[in-house]
Amino acid sequence: MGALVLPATFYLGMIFVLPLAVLIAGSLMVSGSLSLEGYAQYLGDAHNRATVWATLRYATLTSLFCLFLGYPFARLMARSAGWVQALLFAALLLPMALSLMVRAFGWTILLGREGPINQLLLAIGLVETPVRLLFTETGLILGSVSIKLPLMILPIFVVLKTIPEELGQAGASLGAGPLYRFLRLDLPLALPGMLAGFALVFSQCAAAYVLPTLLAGSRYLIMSKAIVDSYLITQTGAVGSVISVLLLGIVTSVIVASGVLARQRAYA
Amino acid sequence: MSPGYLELNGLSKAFGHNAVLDAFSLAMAKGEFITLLGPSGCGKTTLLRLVAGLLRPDAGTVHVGGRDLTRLPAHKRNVGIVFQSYALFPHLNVRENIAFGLKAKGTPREAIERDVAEALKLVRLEEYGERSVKQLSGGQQQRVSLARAMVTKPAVMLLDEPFSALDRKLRETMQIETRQILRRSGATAIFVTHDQEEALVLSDRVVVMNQGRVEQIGDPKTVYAKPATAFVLNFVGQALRLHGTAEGSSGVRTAVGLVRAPGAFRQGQEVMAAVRPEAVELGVAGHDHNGAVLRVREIVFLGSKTQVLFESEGEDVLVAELPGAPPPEVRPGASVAVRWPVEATLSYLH
Repeated sequence: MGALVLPATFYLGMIFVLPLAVLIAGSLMVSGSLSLEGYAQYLGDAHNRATVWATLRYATLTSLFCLFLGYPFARLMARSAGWVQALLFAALLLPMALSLMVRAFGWTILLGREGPINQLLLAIGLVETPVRLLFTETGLILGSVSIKLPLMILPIFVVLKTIPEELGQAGASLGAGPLYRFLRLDLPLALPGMLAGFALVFSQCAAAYVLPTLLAGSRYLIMSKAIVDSYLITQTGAVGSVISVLLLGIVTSVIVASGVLARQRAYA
Repeated sequence: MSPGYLELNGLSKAFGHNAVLDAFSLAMAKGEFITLLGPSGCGKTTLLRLVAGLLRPDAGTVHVGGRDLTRLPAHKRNVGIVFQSYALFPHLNVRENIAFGLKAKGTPREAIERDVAEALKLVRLEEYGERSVKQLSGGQQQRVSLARAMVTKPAVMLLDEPFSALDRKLRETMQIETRQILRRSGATAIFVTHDQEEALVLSDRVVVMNQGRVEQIGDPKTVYAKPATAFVLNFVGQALRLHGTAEGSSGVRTAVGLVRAPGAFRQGQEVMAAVRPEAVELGVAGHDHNGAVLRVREIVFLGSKTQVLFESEGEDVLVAELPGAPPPEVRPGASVAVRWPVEATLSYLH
């Protein structure tokens, strides 16, 4: 039986482990010798630190907005049944059938100067002149939240499904009001799902390239774009490998941290 | 004991077109222990949820101690529940589970510590306070669930089939223990079960329910000895049952002959005569006894008693319970004379 794993191991070794090793080695080689000089140089530049910061900020904000919007939706889905649940599922999953490019272009239209969002804001008198949304961080986060939302909702939904409704009823019978039950029962019990959703959305956003390019424009610099630029435009592969390993490190630590936290709190 | 501490008046609840509870009324005295007994789907769990405030009635009212609770949400009712699944909070340990209600009510810290310690002692789990609830056995979980509800001193305790997940031996121990705990604290409790034995053992009064209606309310002895309806007869305990037609005031004409039974039926009405199996004994019918000669089909030895099943026709059930081991003349295939007191004979319109 063990031998059956060999092809997969070989395949993954060739396309994943080996390139990763080459990448990490490349980030540590400075003029022929092993050193952390590449990292020190990259992070020593204020402009580069701003790039890392923008990446963290974009991924974190998008994840948080997804969490705030996703939890109520997941809860509604978990509480509903029959065709209502089917409908909510469809609303959640159907957009995922569209290609990311199509949806990203859709958002460029929505966010545009003459786009529906601006028209609505003007119509209800919230603003007097069109707001600049496209090619701003706000626009990017708006679009990203809508596209990444299912990644937050699904894990929370799965966890909520395993929590018996009777726990809340028991809490109520013990005299706990809705807010107390939410804080002391619903939230802690849903936390593993929230952490999983956060890790998913965060890692997707931190590594996103298409969405920031289309919605935030070329002047908005985040790590994924810096990697592409360094390899394709400035032809400085060493810098590209440094940023790649940094990005990999950030994403890995968020995933590992949320995994550890979630395991500590996996009750059901 | 004055009835009227807990008063349910005309409670009705329908799900869609399905009336689960139909104008249910009940008055309970303070400290009384009542069992709602009935088959699944009879509305007993719905009733419990209406009392707890987990469901809103379509009609009717719930009063406890003179206070109208009908429109109050569950968390303002002070009604404790022990769920069938125990519904312990999996992210909290035993102590935190029990303290939950006190904390939610803003009880001072020292009082919480004192009350929780007391509650742990009450259910004999002093050593288990710091355990995760998942490490506990079924019986221990049941006790935590009971302690968690009791510690908030609820005006009424509701228990929804709390022993159904336990094995037989443990169930019997927990039944007695729970009864003692509730009695010691003077709790007014409604207990829901489909297990008639459990109902008879535990309660001051039994409410037998069927299809959302009350069939009979009475103390366990009365419900068993004088079932008000054929449903109660069938649901609570076993019975020898004979179907036939009324012969004026003299009795019921059945497959085994004329059975004298109290009850005013009109000539020719379809009637079922019945008797509890332990009232049946070996012997010939006489002035005070109905009797029949029956052929033994099967003998079930149960240790302290022996159940004898006789050949019967149609819907009739012929069963007797004899004390101790079966006498030698009672063996499968043999015909034996059995009799039972006329005054123990029950009869129902069929």
